[in-house]
Amino acid sequence: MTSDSHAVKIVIPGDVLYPSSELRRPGKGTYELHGSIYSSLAGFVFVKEEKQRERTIEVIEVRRSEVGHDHVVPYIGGVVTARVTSIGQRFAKCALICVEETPLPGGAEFGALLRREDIQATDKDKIDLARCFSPGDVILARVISFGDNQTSFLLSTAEDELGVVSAVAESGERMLPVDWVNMQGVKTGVKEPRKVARVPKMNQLIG
Amino acid sequence: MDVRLSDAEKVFIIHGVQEGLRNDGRSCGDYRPMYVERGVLATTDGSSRVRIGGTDLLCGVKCELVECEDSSKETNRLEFSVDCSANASPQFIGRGGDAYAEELSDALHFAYDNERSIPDLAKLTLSPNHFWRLYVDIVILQYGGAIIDAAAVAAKAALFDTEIVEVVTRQADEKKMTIDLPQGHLTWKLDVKSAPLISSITKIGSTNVVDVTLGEETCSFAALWVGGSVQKAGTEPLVTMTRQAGGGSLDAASINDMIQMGVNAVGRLDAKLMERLAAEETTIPGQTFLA
Amino acid sequence: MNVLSEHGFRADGRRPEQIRNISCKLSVCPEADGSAYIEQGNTRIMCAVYGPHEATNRAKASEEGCSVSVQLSTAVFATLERKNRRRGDRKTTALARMLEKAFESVIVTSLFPRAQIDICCEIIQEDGSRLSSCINACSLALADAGIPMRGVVTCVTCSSVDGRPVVDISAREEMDTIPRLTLATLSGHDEVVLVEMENRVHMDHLSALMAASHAASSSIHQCLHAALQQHLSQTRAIL
Repeated sequence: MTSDSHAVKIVIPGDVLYPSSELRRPGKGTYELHGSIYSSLAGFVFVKEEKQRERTIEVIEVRRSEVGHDHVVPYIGGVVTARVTSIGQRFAKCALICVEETPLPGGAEFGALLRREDIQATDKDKIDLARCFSPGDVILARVISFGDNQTSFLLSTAEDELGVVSAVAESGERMLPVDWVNMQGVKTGVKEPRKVARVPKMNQLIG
Repeated sequence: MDVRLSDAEKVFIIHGVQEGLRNDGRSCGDYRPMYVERGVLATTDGSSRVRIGGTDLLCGVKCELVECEDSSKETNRLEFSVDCSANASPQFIGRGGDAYAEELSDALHFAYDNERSIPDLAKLTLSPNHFWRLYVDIVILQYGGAIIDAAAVAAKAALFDTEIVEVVTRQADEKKMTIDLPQGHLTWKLDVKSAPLISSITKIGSTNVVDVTLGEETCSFAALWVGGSVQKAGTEPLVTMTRQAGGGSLDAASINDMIQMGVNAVGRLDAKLMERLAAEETTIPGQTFLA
Repeated sequence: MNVLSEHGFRADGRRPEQIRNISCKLSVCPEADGSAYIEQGNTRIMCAVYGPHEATNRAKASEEGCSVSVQLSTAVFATLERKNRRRGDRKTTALARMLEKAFESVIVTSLFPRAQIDICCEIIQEDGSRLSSCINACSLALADAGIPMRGVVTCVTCSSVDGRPVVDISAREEMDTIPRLTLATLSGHDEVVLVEMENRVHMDHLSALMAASHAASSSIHQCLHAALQQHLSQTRAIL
């Protein structure tokens, strides 16, 4: 259970907020040093109360605004939305659009690689990359590691919920998923193979 | 500078413009409100700051006395330079803005490169060995469309503001001339009434539009820059420069219309600018920009 | 020319330990993630911060944290004499590298692995203490961008005349022969993030010079603190 109290005061980076204790810990926009909690952002102080077992712990946060716009960068383990930009024999190149729920600002897109062996959990050797993705597809994927110097991140779609969520057919029409491995054009009904993501809510809508 | 619109948004803008309606309520021939200040930079001989919509630029004029063998052979009395600050757009980081800056300074150079633009230009030649060179430097602090229009306004306002030091020439040995300062600090100003302004006419769909915003710019097929010099107040400007900018292609038949629209826009803009420049005769040098 | 007159005043009427007027404005560039404009006397600087975004310089990208890239450019009309240098001369590049190092130690870089933050400073008018004013402008712009930092860095350039410290020097005082100490501190306290010395100063005068620089940097921190607070209280009204 969390509850926000009113914004108390305005602080700038380096301001001392509270002495830290067992019942008080630094949250977003703050850091702890020499027994004190300092602000690392220019913004407003929020005190959140968090119940941990029997005790109530105060979490000190500094936010820029009520809604809390944060700078996001992709992190390992996070689910990202990406656009496939090109397809090779061994990997697909992607541009990240969203990290979890937060869209990356325009022009701040990160590059990432989806390797052939990370597409599915099973039958890794038999996969034909061209039968799973096509340039322009929007996919859901999980960040599994930092890449080498050529790319920033490595992605994986080896989960049922991950894969293609939106695609455009060769004919230029929009396609909807029909089963695990196929998507179908809305007008012509032509099927194309894809590694389809089973997004629970979306599939309900399709029925 | 980085505006991304979906196809539907672009269609909305294009259809709107065809009906003569724009998102901010202007008609196709209207400019956004423009703010012109002069005398803003203490380190220059003349300066101006122009803001139009999201565009913000500074212009400084510096006079330099040049010594040469034969001043009649040296042509460039006015030197234009444009710098795209990285503050305007992340695309300008490093050398990213150089090509665009070149295009702008080139256009200004050609618009001014004739006897009619500044009839006074001969006054800058002091002796067979000496002349004044005026450096007109423009820095783009913020990019919000219609840069060339704003740059030409800034250049004209800064030249209007420029005070050139009065000097006397004296005969010296071997048929050479020397330059002396007269008693007291006297200055004079160039007559810039007929200095050209530039209007960028953008083709959106089949309609011509002046002063496009960034959103409208993404829908444009091609643009034409029209430079015009008003010789006498109230008369139609003389066209001193036309050039296509930023790629794309134009229908040959539509170019006449675009030039005509540019000439009209320049005429109206020039009248307003001269009114504004005449009204504000006193400036505080070195005042703060914070307003 | 004497820096101090016989009555102990400077050319612009300041006392030796007096800093120049500071005025500033935040969020001046809508394109940037954060920006600031600062006037310190007649030195005027506009600074924009972009990022964190994907590193354009792949060699510098690291899993440990983000890199900081600084670009300084000077308007050709920034000084009385017209200089066509803009970017890329050695002195400017060296200053930019110093800024990068200073801010990499202050920004909580571990939050943004493999990313890069771009800082662009445009010097519109230059009247001494260029490096210091750039650092102050960058601090404000970074705070405006909401990039987590351990504190706000403030910087001042000071000199020593006959053993007497003279703080926040202007271009007229920035002559070749007198010593110049540039000192940047964190949150106006004791932590030094950048120190640079030009020309020589006698050992005996150094501690007084350091103490004066430190005090001046703290005063500048108070100014920036007030400016940031004021800016935030204005945005709060919108919330």
